[in-house]
Amino acid sequence: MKIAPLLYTEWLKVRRYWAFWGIFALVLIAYPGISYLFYTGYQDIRSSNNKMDAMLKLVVGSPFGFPEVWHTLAYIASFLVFIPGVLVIMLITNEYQYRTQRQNILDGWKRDEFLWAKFWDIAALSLLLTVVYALVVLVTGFVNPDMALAGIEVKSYYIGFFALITFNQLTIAFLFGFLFKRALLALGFFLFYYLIPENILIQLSRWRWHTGNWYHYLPMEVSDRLIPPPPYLGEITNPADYKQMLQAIPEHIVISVAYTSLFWIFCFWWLRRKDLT
Amino acid sequence: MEWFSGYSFTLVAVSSVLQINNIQKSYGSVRALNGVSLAVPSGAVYGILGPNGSGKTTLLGILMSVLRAQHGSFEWFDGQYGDGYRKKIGCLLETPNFYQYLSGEENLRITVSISERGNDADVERVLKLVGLYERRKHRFATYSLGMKQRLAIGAALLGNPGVLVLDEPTNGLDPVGIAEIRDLIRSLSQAGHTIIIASHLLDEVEKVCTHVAILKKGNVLADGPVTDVLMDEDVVELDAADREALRSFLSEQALAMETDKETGWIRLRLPKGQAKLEELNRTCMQNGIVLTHLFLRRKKLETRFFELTND
Repeated sequence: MKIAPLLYTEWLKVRRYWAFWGIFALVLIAYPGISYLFYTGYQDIRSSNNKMDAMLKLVVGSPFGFPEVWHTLAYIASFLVFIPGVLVIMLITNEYQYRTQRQNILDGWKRDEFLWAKFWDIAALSLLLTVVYALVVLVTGFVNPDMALAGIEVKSYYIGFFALITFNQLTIAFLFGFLFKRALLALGFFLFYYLIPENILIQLSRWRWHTGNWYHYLPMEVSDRLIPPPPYLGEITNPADYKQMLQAIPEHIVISVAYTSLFWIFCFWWLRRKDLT
Repeated sequence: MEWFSGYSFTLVAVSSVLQINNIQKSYGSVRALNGVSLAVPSGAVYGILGPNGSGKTTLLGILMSVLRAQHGSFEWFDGQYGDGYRKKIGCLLETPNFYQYLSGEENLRITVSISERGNDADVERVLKLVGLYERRKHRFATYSLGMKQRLAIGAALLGNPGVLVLDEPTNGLDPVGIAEIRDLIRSLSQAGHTIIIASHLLDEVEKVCTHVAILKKGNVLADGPVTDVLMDEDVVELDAADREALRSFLSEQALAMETDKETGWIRLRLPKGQAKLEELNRTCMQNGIVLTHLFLRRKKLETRFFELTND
């Protein structure tokens, strides 16, 4: 299987799809936008008086200066994955709505090729978003007066974490589109799942049931845990938990990759055996 | 101006295009296909006929791998392309399926990219061929049903595939469009293309098909060359200047006769293949009867179809 022809065909599908590019533009604005919002908010607090500035420096450090900006902006941007998730859901549900998924097979693609094309769509989108994240980090870091150039690359491994969390959560969006087939239904269930059930289970387990840390391994939560809150948010509130969270990152990487692989394997298995109506 | 004129062809020579063995398919308790076995010879125009729900589209869906058969097998092109056989076949199955937000031209470029049949020049050629060149930049969503059907036929013709699978190709077309499709199928057939066509328009099938299979409730009731399927018996029509002498002579030969009420002609029903017109004419002449009409009548496909499909 060659990747380039698959991606070229997918490019032909979206090249003049203006609704897609409209939402894509929103994504491109949202990432630097939310970073700028937090950055200016932080600067406003600091500049409000000298005492606050000194205290923030002491407690928070320099969240928008290198190297911490890699972590800060990865954490903030990870909340926005649901927006490109809409794009992914559009890409797959359109194929069902127009029955072009079936037509692609009639025209000669193998069923696996159809899914590989979507896989590479999501990989390309994740890569693009990661590039946007990295650019926003670099710009923010360079314009920040606290810049310490020597530390630019220190926490750049967050690029990998950001790419993984994005790919993982876009895969979940794809899964919803793949199973529900209708855009509104898939989008509704995806956003519902993104915002509510896991969060309810987590809070119930933590505060009411006291049933251990199984909830760490829920599909969204486990990838969220790849990018824990920055130290000035997480470490202050519960240092022991925060340390444990950092130590568990390698394990969560493995589980995230396993979930993502499992979801794709399921999609391939499902499509191979189903009638395309 | 006929919109298919100027078509040129390239063909892949294979001895057998398609072999179907005992295909079975059920939807729950409903048996859609009940052990269908057929062979489609190279260069045939193969009509698949049947009432609604007979399994025509299900069969074509299985043959194009969008539906899964529970039992049985099929093989295209003697298996020489493996699972890549669909790229060698131009296919229109049920409704035309294209990206609504893209133009006709952009949709055909996607077909080219997936099927690896044709190129940009070919896209332009088929758009002219199906009469959509002027509307090529317009979004597919703005096309009429007939235009959508023409675009789908255009997509099937990209790259001049040696085999075409057409499911109800005249759906949505006006009478002129239907006639044009018929002529196109004839042109393709004459150039050696193999065409598998499912249709409920018996007259259309009869005019263009060389072979036919008749399906009912998932069973093949009859299949083979059209002449074989239509002629389950020999029906000979004859008349003479002295009709009474002819009638008495045939009675002496112990042949069962009918009389056509409109024309008065005598009709003989003989077992298939036993009508020998030359010999019959000679015998009559030797007995002093001069025939004024002698014809081996083929049944209309419609008649045969209803004979086979009526319970």
